[in-house]
Amino acid sequence: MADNEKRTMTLNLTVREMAVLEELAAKKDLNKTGVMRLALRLLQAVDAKIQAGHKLMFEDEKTKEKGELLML
Amino acid sequence: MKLTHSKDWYARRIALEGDADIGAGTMAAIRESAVAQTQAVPIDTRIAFGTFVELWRRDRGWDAVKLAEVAGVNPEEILEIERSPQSEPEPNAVFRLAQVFEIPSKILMELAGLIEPRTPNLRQAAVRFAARSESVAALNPHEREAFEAFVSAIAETAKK
Amino acid sequence: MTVSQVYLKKIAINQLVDASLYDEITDQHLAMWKSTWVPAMEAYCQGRAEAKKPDDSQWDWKWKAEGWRPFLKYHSFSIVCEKELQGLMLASDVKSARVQDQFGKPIVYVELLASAPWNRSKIQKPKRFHGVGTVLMAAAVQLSIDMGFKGRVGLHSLPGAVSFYKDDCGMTPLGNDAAYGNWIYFEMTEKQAAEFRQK
Repeated sequence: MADNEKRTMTLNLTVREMAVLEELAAKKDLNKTGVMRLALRLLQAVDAKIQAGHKLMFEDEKTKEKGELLML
Repeated sequence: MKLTHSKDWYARRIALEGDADIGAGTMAAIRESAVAQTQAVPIDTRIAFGTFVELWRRDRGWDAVKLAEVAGVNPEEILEIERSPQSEPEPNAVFRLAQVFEIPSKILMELAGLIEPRTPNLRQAAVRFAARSESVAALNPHEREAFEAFVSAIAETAKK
Repeated sequence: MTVSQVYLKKIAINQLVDASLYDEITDQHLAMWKSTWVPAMEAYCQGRAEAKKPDDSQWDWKWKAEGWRPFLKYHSFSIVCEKELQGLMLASDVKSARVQDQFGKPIVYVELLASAPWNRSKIQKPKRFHGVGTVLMAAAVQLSIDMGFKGRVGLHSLPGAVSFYKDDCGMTPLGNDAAYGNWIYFEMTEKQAAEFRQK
């Protein structure tokens, strides 16, 4: 199997989920497939860090306050 | 990904580039790779690492708090090392434990999955040890034998 | 893996010669890095003060490869010419643009970009080949287009390369970035990418 061979999947989303997907696509200037692929890469990368014992945090640039985003 | 620029395009752009330096990137990229690379370390050496720490202190009748005190680390760190092989231990904690155990820190770091595996036979010794150890209140003769065999294996590899 | 026909300029004959761009850094490329780049770099660094060594003299591409290969977000590239490794690049596709006009939109971020020691004027005068930067930037821009990012690219330039990214590639400098060794962060917009591809 060549590395760039593609596989197709049918994605069933709720009306709300599809709305969010469309909103993100517009915001990010991507098509819906592009958004899903981006999400997959991010999840893979975040999951690896959490598995290694790291926490996913956001920091307020002004106050330097850190808040834990999520535990996956 | 395929590039399809014409030869002319390269001629024009390479003339612009000329003799310039072109490097990009920073150590930040390397740090991220370090995290991902630790993921590739077999989890069984970390299980052996945690078991080793637990059996070492139980052999002396110490609880996790006492070991933490002697090593100068947080008790939570000891418990995480002993119970969570999927978590990456703090390098500083591993270094301090190596000093308490009086074994080379490089070997303990390798067992803990913090540095690239490079000591031959260490992984096999670790896996054998982990497989033979059971978690009971005091070291039973079976565990003691396994523990002493592993300590010898570490001493042997340290000599090389 | 895809191989593209590209060109480098061979200085000894002052002409373009055929080269190959691979969209993957293979074990073979890493072996070439180890057997040719590393000794040349070590020879250059011998006896030099830390401040005078190239910023990437300690980069271990083989060790890094073990880190990046499991992840979808990383893309690696190599250039081979006259059977020797001339350039390497690692890029990722999950970072976002900082330039106001494209703020928050995904970009291809060049994590690492380096040319062979013999292609650097500080190490060898004259260089063997010109054009490694051009080919690798072309690859980054094409990857961005393939990903649907319309040519948007970001990177932190090593100090000596600022004029290449600013003047030759036409990228926008966004100042020194304390989070990244204080190197200057550059970004290429959609428009700049279109110009780059045409010029």
